[in-house]
Amino acid sequence: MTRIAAPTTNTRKAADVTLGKREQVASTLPWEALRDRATAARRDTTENLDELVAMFTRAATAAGHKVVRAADNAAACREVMAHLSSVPQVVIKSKSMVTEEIGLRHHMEALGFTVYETDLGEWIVQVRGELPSHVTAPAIHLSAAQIAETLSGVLGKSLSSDPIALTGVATDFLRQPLRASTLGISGANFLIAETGEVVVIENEGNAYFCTSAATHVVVTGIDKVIRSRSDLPALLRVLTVSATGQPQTVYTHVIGRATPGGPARTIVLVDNGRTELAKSAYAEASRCIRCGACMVVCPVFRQTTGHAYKTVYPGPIGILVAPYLEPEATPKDAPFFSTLCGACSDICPVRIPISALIAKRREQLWREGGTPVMVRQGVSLWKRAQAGGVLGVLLRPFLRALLRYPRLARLGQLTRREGRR
Amino acid sequence: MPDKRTALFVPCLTGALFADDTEAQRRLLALSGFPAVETVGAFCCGQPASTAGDREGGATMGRSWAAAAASYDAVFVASATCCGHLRHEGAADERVRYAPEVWVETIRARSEQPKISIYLHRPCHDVWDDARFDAYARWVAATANVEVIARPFRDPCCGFGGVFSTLFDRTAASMMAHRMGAIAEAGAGVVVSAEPGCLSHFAAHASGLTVVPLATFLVSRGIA
Repeated sequence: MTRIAAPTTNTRKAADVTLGKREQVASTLPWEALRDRATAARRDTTENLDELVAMFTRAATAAGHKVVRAADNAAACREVMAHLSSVPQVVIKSKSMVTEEIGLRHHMEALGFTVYETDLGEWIVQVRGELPSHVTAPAIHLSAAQIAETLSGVLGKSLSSDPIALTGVATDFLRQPLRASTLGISGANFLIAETGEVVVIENEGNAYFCTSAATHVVVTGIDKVIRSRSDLPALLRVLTVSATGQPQTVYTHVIGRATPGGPARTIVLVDNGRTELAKSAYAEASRCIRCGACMVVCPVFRQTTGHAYKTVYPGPIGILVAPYLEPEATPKDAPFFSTLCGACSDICPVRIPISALIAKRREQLWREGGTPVMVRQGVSLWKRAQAGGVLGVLLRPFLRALLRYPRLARLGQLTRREGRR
Repeated sequence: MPDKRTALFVPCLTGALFADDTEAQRRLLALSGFPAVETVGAFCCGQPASTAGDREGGATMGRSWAAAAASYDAVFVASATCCGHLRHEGAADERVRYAPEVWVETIRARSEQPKISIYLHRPCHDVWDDARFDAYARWVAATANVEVIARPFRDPCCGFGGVFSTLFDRTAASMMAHRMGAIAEAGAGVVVSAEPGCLSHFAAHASGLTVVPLATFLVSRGIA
């Protein structure tokens, strides 16, 4: 029996561990039935987004929370800041891709706040000044030795690369702000429209501190809304199994009615392109539950990690959602940063046909004239050769010679502005 | 079917990079009972246009391919992705056969050469399901007297991806380096595939391994 070769990148190494656990756990579950149930729930969200967001807003308001809606990044940051006027300058944050998307931490830091990312991986990329390289595993691109070097620099002492020891060091460092801060910011994994409940899942316990601080601000996308509690079990199951290979996360917080003496809570619902995405030709991408399975299975992501995509949302699903959520950051040639192998579509727990939608984006780019020049010209020559006639037949040996040219790819680089990846 | 007109389609990449393989394909087809195989007068199936986003261009190329192949009773295509594209565009009817499928069904010769280990590459866009690919792998092993190693890496794609490896050559090359290292480590010295696109990517980064199209490999093993 052939052995699988040792991974050659940190990302591939971590991805293989996740995929192995995922396969093992999924095999013990009625996996396809769970995917069907989760897909149906998320399809309901996409098709009835306005209705469900309105329903959630009413229910959460009735439960004693303040709910505000933000149209874009700037509005979202303004809404968060509007609720922080009388609070201390030290803020604890749990992991949230939406806050990365809207640039909230940088916005707050520019205003003089000290913001601690308290998820271990997120804290590591914060101190390195990087974006998360994966939606659930922000430091997937780093080895333990690289993390030890980073934290040694931050803490001013030499640390070993033992992962357990490093986790202990980080916990010791973050314990003080976690316990002392009276302001916590979190994201949300799901918002239940019928009850107004906010669902946050985590493994490290840090989100508990953020969600139970005296002032708690939830910053999340409107697309996190689901209709009812009965949708939750299947969604949580496929999310955790797909993201980390766990049957469930260590902690599942379901935040319900506000209680006397409990946190004063504001829920900021960020649109920022989500309504447009849900009504677009790529609406199925709106079903995404941010598990990151399409990333760990993608042959391109596994080689390059998330930073190569140049957007907060990387990987195959990022190619689809980033043009709506981060249009300015999205490289024009993004739909081509995929081999269209289809592994992402096969693994997606909510059955988004990711690969087919990426092909559709290539078609849109072609219609809009945005396809890289070399590709357009190549296709034009191929069509001419295929059409036949004297010119077409004469062209064929020339094109065959071109294909034999070992540095054909370099020609492509000369015609592109996006930078090499 | 000696009285029927049969033809071989030579995909653009095969014609450019593995031209000698077409002769090997004809020898295998002769062994399969098709001794007088002509050549379809088409340059390309249209797949490069479709994957570049020019869906209409790809469909047009598919239609002109169908016109070029219309006069034959049977057409053989030794590329799963070309075959798949032609079927997707409605340009290939039941007369168009994936050549390895015909070889698997008909060739029962056995190589008497010493046994070696090979990596039999499967393209992402195969026309076969897992069971049929496994049956094909067993046929290659028995016919060529080789050990076909299991895929020694988890990545589902070689990194060719057509336009992808042209635009992102450095990434595509690094993806292939991982695969090549894994194949060599697993003890295979030869990479075999019927897929010209994937083969071209393997061949460009071979470093120490031999990369051979399926028909050429089978002929080299004394099958035809």
